[in-house]
Amino acid sequence: MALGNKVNVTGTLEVDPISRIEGHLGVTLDVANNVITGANVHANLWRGFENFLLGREPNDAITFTQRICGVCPVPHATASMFAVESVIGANDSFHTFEYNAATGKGVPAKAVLIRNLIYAAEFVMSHITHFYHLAAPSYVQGPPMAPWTPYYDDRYYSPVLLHGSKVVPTTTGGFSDDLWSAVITQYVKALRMRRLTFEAGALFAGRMPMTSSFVAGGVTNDSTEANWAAKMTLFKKLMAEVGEFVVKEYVPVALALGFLYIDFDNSGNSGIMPSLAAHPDGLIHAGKGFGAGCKNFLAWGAFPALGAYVDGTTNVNTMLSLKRGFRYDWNGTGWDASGVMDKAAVEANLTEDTTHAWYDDAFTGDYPGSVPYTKPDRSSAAGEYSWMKAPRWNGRPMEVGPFARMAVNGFYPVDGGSVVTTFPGAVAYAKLDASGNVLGLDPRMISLDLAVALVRQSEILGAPYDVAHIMAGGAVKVGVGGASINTVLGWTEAEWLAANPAWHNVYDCLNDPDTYYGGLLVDYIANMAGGFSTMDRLRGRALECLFLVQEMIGAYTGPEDIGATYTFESQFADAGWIKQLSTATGATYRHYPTPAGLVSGFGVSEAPRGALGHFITIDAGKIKAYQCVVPTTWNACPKDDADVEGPMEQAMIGMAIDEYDDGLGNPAGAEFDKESGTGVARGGVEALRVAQSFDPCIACAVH
Amino acid sequence: MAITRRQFVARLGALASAIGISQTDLTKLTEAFAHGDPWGASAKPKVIWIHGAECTGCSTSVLGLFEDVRGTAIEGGNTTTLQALDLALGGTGSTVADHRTLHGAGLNVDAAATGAGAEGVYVANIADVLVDIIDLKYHETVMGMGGDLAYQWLKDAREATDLNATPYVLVVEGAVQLKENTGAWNSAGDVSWCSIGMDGAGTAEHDFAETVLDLAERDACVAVVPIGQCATYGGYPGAKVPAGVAGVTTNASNTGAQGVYDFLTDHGTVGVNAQLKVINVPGCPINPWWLVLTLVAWLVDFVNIAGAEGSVGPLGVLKIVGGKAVPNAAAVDSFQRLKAVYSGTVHGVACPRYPAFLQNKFATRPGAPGCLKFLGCKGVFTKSTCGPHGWNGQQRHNDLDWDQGVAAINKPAGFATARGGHCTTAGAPCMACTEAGYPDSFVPFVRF
Repeated sequence: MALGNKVNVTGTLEVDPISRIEGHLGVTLDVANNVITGANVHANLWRGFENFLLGREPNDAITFTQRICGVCPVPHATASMFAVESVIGANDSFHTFEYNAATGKGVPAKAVLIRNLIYAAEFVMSHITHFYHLAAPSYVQGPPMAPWTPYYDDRYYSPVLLHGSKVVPTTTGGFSDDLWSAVITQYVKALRMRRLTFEAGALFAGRMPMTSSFVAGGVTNDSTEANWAAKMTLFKKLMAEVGEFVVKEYVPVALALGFLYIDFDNSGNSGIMPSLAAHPDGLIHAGKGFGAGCKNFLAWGAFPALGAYVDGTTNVNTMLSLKRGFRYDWNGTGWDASGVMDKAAVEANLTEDTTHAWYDDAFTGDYPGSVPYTKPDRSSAAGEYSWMKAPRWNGRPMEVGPFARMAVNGFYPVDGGSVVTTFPGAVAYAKLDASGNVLGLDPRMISLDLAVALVRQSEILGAPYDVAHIMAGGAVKVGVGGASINTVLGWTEAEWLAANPAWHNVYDCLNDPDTYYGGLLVDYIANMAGGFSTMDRLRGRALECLFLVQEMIGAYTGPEDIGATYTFESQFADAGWIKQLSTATGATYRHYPTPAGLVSGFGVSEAPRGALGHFITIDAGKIKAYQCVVPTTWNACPKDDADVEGPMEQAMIGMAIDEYDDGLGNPAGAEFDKESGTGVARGGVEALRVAQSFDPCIACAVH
Repeated sequence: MAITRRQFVARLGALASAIGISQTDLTKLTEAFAHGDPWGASAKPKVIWIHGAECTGCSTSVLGLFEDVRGTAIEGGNTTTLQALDLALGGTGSTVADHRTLHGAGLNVDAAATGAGAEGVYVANIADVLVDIIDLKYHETVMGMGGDLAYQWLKDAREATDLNATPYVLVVEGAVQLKENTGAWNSAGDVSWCSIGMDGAGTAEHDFAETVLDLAERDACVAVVPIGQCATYGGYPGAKVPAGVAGVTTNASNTGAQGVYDFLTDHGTVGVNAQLKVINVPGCPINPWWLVLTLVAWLVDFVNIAGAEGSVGPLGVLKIVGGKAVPNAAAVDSFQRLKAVYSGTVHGVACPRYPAFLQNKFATRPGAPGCLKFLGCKGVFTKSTCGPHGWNGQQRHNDLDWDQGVAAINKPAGFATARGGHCTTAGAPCMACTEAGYPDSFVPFVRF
């Protein structure tokens, strides 16, 4: 391939399809001198769920709305179930909690727990799939074969994440030879992990991805069946293996990625740009905050806890694992407005605008609970460009999703605070000195393969990708777990030491309780500042995945020494929803008759990709109106009547976008070999990265 | 610990399942190709997988394929997957009574490959299969390319500048909505209900319906495989809006969404020719195995069938009609499903609640034990292999030998054998998601 030159991009650039997301999405970019100045994000499919639900049995909405999205059906089932339960009197809108005799509302404890377990299992599946199978190929070149080819020009990727002509990962002595091999190995391993989450969820759901067992009033599972205890045991085993992967592979890699793509990180962090051509000095640079977005957050909350829930808001956030709340008008250090919404606030503040969407505008700007149907209007009035409506909270676009949730929960700092110390719980990646200062990374907290690969990488590329910059080890000493690492690998210490000397520091670190991993990459993680950027969004998602695994099966109590008795389950406390389920008593279902009159209500939940609300009205026992306000509709919505861009549009504006010619006088996009992936591809991968960081789901957004 | 190259490709089998073939199946197919490669000496069988009015639930499901290939592959035919593959090899179909399962603490997927029997041979060849044989060219949720790169690729595919030389299988996920079909709303316009890509200037789009027709009609397209309810019979996008809703005068689908087979009916000779190649794999979502078994059966016959007019493949799935290998009318039912894959009903011995049915024990409320008949179960007439195969690793054969060492998760009390896990296992009535007419013909799903 001829080495081309960076060219000036000015004008309109269409990026469609945005791939490796769910559904049909594109973006029309206005570009001036390689900087994005405008963005129209458009959804390209309409099906009309809100209309064909009309006239049906309310309970059927639980099954119907799961087909809005096959990637996150369970959140739809949950929101729908809560909505139906709001009109049959099992809750006061929002969520359904454990049955409380004082209020006469709620469902049995077993139902609350089974719902949570199926729901959280799907969350974990979705987050792992998003990072490895959807987002990662925009940062890591896949193997040079379909379906990963063709890909973008080498210059768009970090040099350590190019395939280097390797078709499959190379290993020596059981370890990946380089970082690319380690990451692709994880990509494959993650396929197994997502399957295990399905198998765990299906124990109670009957099958996954779409759960069959949710019903208004509880779940359909027979808690008296013979295999009940075995299912709980198996659930824990399956999820513990997934949890180990999340702790030692997914989270560390998600935390580290920004180091190699620093433009997409916030300005509080420093790292290396993928393209040395972009920064010819090859040195460490501060982040540019690509993909920051609107900085307004909204979360409906999810995962009710057991216990007596009484009223609308006063104790709701002590009763939800993921909390409810909104934050808007960021002033540089905090938000001017924040709070926990009650039912009246929802009715007063929540609207959907259709000014720029292909719909009849009769109900534009209305509260969704008052909208009777959704009428498409494809006549393309000027300025209409998407099948998505534009949800607004008090007139503002709001970002939803794991990043928003972690911020609302206080688990992720966006004000420049420390990411690793803000996240709660016992998962301690940092090794501290006696005074509590961060020394570096606990070597037992990342997978051995990743550690070895990072060290080996140093032999391949020099600064700033060399070992001194990426990772440095500690002193030679055999201590904790000395025998166990050999057990894992089947190696003796002598074999270790006879192997490549570059691994010694990994071995030494792992076997010495006083050592730790250091180096620039580790410093980057240990001192990571939270902010607003594409990378912050990816990190928030990974940390939420870690949080939810622990909610399901108990707090991570590792890293335990790896030894003969090492099991995945032993790394987690005997706690969580699965433990509660094992001791819960009673039925799984409580019957609520459907009222005959006109009743309205709503149910909310959190999909992996953000806040989800279903708004229902029933009359004579049938659905009279049904509206869904969906995560990606929030995130990828078009402009509103005031021409204020949606969160994803705002996230793209101001970002640099690069294109190259082929060095032979042909313009970008003119010629490339689509079979091999060589040549000069049209740009747009930057837009893909930002769009994918929201984990958009278009089938959801346009339902 | 890192995985080996062999393990890498073995696990890629899960991704290969995106074309519906398990890794073990692939291995045997390699050997089949060695006997006579229908794609030419160096070419690979190409698969183009496109998404229309759908939710990606079927892709999501297929990517969760469980790898155990024991059990009966072709229901009623007493043919296991491996026996079918042995047929593809030109063998007698009598090899391999049993096959590897996952053992140990989970990651050691190749444990059995070093054990007794011929299993190791299969696994050892997988690297070559996946890297050298299979070519999943287009799948928007998996592929590396995006934006203009993807638009241009699909454009060339539609115009056949890249693909007309070698056969490919077209997998369609999602219903077809005609651009000119106004559905219930009678709002004419030139904006597509569904487009799957736009050129760099934002002026030309791939309308989904046109793309299906372009890719299905070509001679190089050797099979059209609609998967899931949407692509087969219209599914949820095809659900009717009740007349009387403001603006709706007829009881019809919002967008006139329909399955691929019906869509092709309305497109003249071109469409009808393409229609001959259709094998439906319905379900909402599909069980990965239904696609695997359908495609394996198809491949076995495609590889082995003789060229003479009227010839039938070894499994009887394909027949030479008009010089082309197309689904044998005797092998598919009136809904274009392979009879072998959609053989028995959900109701029957494979249902974990069948013992309760035999004892006249019926559930009257959700969450209660007993047969689900009076809660609205549609299992009596719904054709599927939910029970025999099970979902998500809940295979009935895993009752004793499961990779996590937990036995008998779906065994009815007092009965000797486990059942395959599916909806009724969790107490949910069957909702007939493999049948044409779903969902409108089968609501309400649960009767309280």
